[in-house]
Amino acid sequence: MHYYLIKRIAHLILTLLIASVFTFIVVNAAPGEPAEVLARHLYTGLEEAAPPELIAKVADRYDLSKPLLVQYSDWVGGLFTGNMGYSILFKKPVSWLLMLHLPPTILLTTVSMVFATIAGIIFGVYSALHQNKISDHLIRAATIFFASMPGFWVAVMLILVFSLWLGIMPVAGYGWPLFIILPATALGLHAMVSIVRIMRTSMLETMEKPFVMFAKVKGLPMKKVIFSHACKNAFLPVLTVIGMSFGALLAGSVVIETIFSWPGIGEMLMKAISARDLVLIESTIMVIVFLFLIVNFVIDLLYHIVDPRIIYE
Amino acid sequence: MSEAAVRHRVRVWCASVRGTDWYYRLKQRPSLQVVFVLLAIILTAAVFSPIAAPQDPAATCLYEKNQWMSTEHWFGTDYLGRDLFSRVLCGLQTSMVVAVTTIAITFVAGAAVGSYAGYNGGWAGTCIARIIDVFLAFPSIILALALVTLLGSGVLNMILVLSVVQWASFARLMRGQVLAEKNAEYVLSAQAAGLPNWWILVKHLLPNCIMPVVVLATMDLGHTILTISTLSFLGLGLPPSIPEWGFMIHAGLGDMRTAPLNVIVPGLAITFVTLLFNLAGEGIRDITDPHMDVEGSL
Repeated sequence: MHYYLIKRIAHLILTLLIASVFTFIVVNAAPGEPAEVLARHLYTGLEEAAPPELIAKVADRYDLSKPLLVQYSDWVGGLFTGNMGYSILFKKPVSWLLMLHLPPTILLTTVSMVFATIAGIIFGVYSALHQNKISDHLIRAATIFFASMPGFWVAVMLILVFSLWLGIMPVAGYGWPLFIILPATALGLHAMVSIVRIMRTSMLETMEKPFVMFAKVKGLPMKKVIFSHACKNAFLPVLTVIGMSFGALLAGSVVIETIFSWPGIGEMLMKAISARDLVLIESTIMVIVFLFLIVNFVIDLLYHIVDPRIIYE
Repeated sequence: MSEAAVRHRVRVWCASVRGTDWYYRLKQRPSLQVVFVLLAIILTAAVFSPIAAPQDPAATCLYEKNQWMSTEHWFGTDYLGRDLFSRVLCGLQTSMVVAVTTIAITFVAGAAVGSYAGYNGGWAGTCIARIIDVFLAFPSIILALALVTLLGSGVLNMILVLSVVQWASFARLMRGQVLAEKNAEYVLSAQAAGLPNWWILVKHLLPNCIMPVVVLATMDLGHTILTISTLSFLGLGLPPSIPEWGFMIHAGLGDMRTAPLNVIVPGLAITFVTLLFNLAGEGIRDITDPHMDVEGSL
């Protein structure tokens, strides 16, 4: 167990390190001299060209004249110390911006995930228990249909129907609880679909297992067989899907937050990308990757708690 | 080759197809046949869409902007008075060209890298596995966003970006398949017979490993179409002059209240095409994998 933990953490750190190098290269290889872009942003306006002495000054001021390797190590060090540099778009420290914008994203993804998990398990179990009946076919047809709808279009349709036509939901904005319903639905839909499907398959398999048969034979009421025997054992694969879906949720939040003007890191990332705010882009991407990996790491460890039979080599 | 010889060959080929398991299973599934026929229609429409479009997708007419359905404009018109039906049809071509090229590239690259890493193992295999992990650690849209920032918009750049984003999932699947198969007896006997490694890989392992990858490719076609439309909805990826569904929805947002067709029609098109690829992918899995039971199919 300890050996496994150390190995997993080493893998995690290695993956993060390679990912940070990759992100840094990709973002910094973007066309346009960063110092020149920055000088235009800060002083001369977007259309005018910045004078060379100003560019040199800006490069000096924001550490852009250093070699790339030094810039990289500064940045990675900053990821730990919280000193990630300045955003040229918001004219604030990057760490301050991330602290400001992380909570809304975490709120949104958590609510979506909880919604997706609960709804997914309910529909999945229902579908499995009514195998090959009309309701099962309907649920399966609905899942495959929802899985084919792009998340941003679902969001637009929700706004169209509930905000513009029916007028019962706010179009966009940040708040609780009314404002979160539409974005959380749009964001969680795909995750819900995957959970329904895995829960259904897993439940069908579990219902065939001898211990469920035994529980039935010894005369337990069906409710008890399903909820305290079968469901618990069928849940394990869902855990994996939750971990994988979390990445999709973080990625989807970029689009959903932009549509609903939800002030999270996704929306900030989009703004940063359109303004070519390199430091902000790379730091935000690293935070997203970090969150995704950490969640999957925790879920990996949770396996052992959920199912003590799983022992790590 | 004479005509009779060609005919004979076609007849032999048809007979061999009819003898296969998957042909038998396909015959049992009329719904899957419908899906394949619809896919064939979609692909044909994608190839001929500029000719087949009833009107010029770029012809603007401000007097007729934001119209509802009519006999002249089947799906109405957009905010510049362009015919929505023609634009959706041409958007199909854009999506299909990008998606099919991307999947072709990722399929070949992923299968090659994955099978190499799986078969050879060693430090090179471990390194490749690590790199695959890193690529999978990026949520796909996030990586695509970073790469689009680097490369800028354009059809070729879009294909490049999507290929970089998606090759890893193919490589991981292929690697897993090869790892699972490489100690099978037929591989060991081929090794014992002294066959070269590349021959074993291509002739023996590949046919036994490739079907799940084909299924993934079919489903990923749908997934890629979703990603393309998401990126262009965000205003990244493709230049606005090319008709594309995601960008059409983005452009229709402003007049959503008065002209809802502008956002509904392209979205339905995305959903429909993606749905077909998802159904086809599941269908191929059902008919090629003898372990799957009928229960799993729709």
